[in-house]
Amino acid sequence: MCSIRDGGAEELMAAATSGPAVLEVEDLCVELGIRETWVQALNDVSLTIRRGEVLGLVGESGSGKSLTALSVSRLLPENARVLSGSIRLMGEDVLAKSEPELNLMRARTLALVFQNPTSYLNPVLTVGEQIAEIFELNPALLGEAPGGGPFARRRRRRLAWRKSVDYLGLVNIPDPERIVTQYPFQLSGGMQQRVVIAMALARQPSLIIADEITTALDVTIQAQILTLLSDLRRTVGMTLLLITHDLGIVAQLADRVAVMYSGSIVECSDVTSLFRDAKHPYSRALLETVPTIQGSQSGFRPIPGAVPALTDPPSGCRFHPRCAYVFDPCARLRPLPIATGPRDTVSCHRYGVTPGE
Amino acid sequence: MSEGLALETRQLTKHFHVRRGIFGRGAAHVKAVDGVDLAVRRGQTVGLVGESGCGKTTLASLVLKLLEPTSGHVYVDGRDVASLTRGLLKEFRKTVQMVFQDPHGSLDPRQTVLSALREPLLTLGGATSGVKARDRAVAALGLVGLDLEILTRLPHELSGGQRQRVVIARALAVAPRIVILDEPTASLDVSVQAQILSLLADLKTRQGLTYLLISHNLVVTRSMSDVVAVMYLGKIVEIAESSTLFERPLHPYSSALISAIPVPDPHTRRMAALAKGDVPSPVRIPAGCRYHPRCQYAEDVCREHEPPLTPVETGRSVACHFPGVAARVSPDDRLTTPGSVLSS
Amino acid sequence: MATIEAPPPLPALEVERASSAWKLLLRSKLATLGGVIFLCILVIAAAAPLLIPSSVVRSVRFGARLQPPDAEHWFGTDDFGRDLFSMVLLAAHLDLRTALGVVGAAIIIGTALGAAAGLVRGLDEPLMRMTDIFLSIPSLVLAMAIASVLGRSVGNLAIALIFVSWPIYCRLMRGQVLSEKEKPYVKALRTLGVGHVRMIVRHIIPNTVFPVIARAPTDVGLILITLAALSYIGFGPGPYVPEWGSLVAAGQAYIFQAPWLVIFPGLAIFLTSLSLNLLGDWARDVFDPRRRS
Repeated sequence: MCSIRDGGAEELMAAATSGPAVLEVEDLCVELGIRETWVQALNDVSLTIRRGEVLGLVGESGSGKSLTALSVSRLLPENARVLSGSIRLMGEDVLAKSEPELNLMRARTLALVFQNPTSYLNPVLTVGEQIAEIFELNPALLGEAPGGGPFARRRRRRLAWRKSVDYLGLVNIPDPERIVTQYPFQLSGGMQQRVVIAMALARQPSLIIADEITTALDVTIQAQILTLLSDLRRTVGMTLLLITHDLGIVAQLADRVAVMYSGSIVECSDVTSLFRDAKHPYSRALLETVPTIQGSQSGFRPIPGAVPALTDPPSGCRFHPRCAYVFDPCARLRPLPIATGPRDTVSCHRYGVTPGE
Repeated sequence: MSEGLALETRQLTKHFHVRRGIFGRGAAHVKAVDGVDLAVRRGQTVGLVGESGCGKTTLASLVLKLLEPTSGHVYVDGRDVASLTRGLLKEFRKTVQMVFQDPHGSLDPRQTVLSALREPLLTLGGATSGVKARDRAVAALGLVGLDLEILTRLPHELSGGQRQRVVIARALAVAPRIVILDEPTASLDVSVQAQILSLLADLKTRQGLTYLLISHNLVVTRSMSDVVAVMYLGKIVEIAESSTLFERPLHPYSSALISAIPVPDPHTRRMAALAKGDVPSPVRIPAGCRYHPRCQYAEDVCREHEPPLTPVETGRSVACHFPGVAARVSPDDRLTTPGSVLSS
Repeated sequence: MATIEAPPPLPALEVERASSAWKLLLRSKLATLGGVIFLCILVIAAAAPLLIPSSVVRSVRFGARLQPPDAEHWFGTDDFGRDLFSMVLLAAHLDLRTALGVVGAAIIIGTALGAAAGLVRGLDEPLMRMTDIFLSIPSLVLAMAIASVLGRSVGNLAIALIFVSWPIYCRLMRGQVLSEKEKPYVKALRTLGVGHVRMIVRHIIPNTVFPVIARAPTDVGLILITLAALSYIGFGPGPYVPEWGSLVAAGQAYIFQAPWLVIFPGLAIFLTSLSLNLLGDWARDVFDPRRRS
């Protein structure tokens, strides 16, 4: 596995960062109804993803990373509502879309891959039928016009089936001609996840959102999927919002990283800067607390305290009770994002004066 | 031979019978644990790693006498546990305790923390009155660093970290000597994992415990264990001192496991998938070396003969016909082998 | 070991938890309505035999038969000249007592056998085959058969209905126990030395019995209706035992002349089973173990 960091990949990265924005989220605020009260679950979340870029969204439980993904795709649960902010996907306002427009968006522009592939595959259809369905609903992907007589339909169906096999091969499923006739329950977890990835790719979406897609898989299978994603990045050029709690995955796949804590993005920067010199105390603590395989066996460096409950958040900066660098304004004022680079931000009072102090 | 060994298993085997065929004939076996020899010295932490289906959870159940072995023996403090009856069984239960994974599921959802902590004291003895039991329960709570006000709460009113601490406190309440930790940090947030691991390490020293750590997480295993045993499809394929194993794995599966961990360092993009295909199920165990279908280096002998677990150095054994063949791939090297092996 | 301090006061949290069930009841207006209605009916039913002399049932006065409701007879009079209001209230007592008794007995028998089936592998098969037999016969038909053998009385109807109701509770309890047995905490408790008896009594039963109890209010309503139906068909006691179903059946012949004979007992059945259904929804919400997580 050669390193991506050397050679031509840098140019590709440079081109990507100057490309148009695929996703622009600005000051998104989302509330959740928990036990008869509304709690602030997302606080002014802002992020941008350019074409060809992989943004890693890192956080623990309760950080709001999955909620962000659900907000972008407008798949929020019943007890969640968007208070304010804007979400633009390929320049279009997602929050203003109607239900039919959203369906179109999810069918063409946006693809989602979740943690548990078994729940997201239809158990009564074969794998091939499920991928072919995408093409039958979207004849444009086959390079065909919709409508036409039974002749045209049959031709499209054959084409769709052919494409299904091709996409299964693209995700490195062995013997795709045979797998395409299998039902999801006949496949292992890793294979199912590949099928879901194939279905996502088949749409040729502008953005793929992957939410903890390897968490439920065994270690060696996880490595296979991550390697696959890495290869696909180079061959197909995906734009990916990669949601995970695993810093290792972020280091291996992402170009940029946004760290979330209790509903806010506390730091956003490119991946090298984050690992070399994390600015936010939480990011730093997170990097230090995670034991590594090369690290020594001496001592653990736990972060004191626990992730706050959304129903009873600390005042001011939500991380302040656990922060080693806490000082006067932290408990009083919520820190706003401060720019530390052309696209980088950190939300911490230690890095400058927060307006309104 | 068994001196100083807190826990030992000899050729421990557990087969489950799956009835198939029309008249119950043609029964298939699930060889969950297949001839495992394990030795844990007093005061050691032995880590047992493997992916799903490798049999590590079944092994734990066998050691705890939750299951009876098909064959083989388990020795605790030199004594065979198979022959234990009433009174000695109670002693055994006090000696060997387990911290289960999924702290949420391990607690009776209708029991308060106090009730959960008192229970082992009432059933396994050591507390003759309710008051005495309460006192010891409170003491156990103090060991894991929780406040008294936790006592009246129900499991669903606690955070994940707190629940895990309660489960640990419950196991420690009877003052065991050997504790089996089954994925102790699996369902916890990253920031809480270090707290729990730190607590476990601290307790080991303070209480003089011996740990058997079962995990699929090699990083956690490495940071906690003195000796690590790698399990695959019911057998131990490599066993070595922790640092030696991670620096120089000899079995291709150990290599694959170690290389599979994504390194949190963008400059070493060294994520390699060395194991081909899927994690197998113990229902259909391959002939010859169990790992051969997934091994890049498999030769004919691997497909035909199962390699026994052989000592190669002091304190180090491998079950492979070509140990060290994967040594080119080590966690610190940048890999030069091009491409990635993904599928069989 | 840490020093032991005085135990902290316990009650605060307990009270809070118990009151949350009440809060849920009060917050749901429908459930409150159901509760209030049922409570009224219950009080009336309990008080009825104390306030109304049972001689009313036999006081046949053909001169005053089929009179519409007025100041003296609030519900009018029936075809025997008896005050319908008194009849309906006395029937309330009988019906509710019977329905509650049937459900209570069915729960006790069903859960005991269901728990046994779930815990003792040898008992599982025979018990399940028995419930299969009972469940494969339509409940109304089975009740009729038993009643016709035993004789037409409310007591015998009750026995028939118990026969018909226990299998459902048995199956429910058995399923609950089987799944509870596999839960991780049961394994954990075994390693803590918890023996079989203690496990069953202190852990498994308390965790499995609630879904069964959650069904109870709705089932009382169902039994009530079944009882009325059986009486209506003609399996009930005669005209000298006040029972809502037989009241409706008797009034049916005079439905155009004296509709109140059908309306008032029918309304009573309707209100009772409706309020029980509303309460049943609340019970399911409160006692559903999943709500706890």
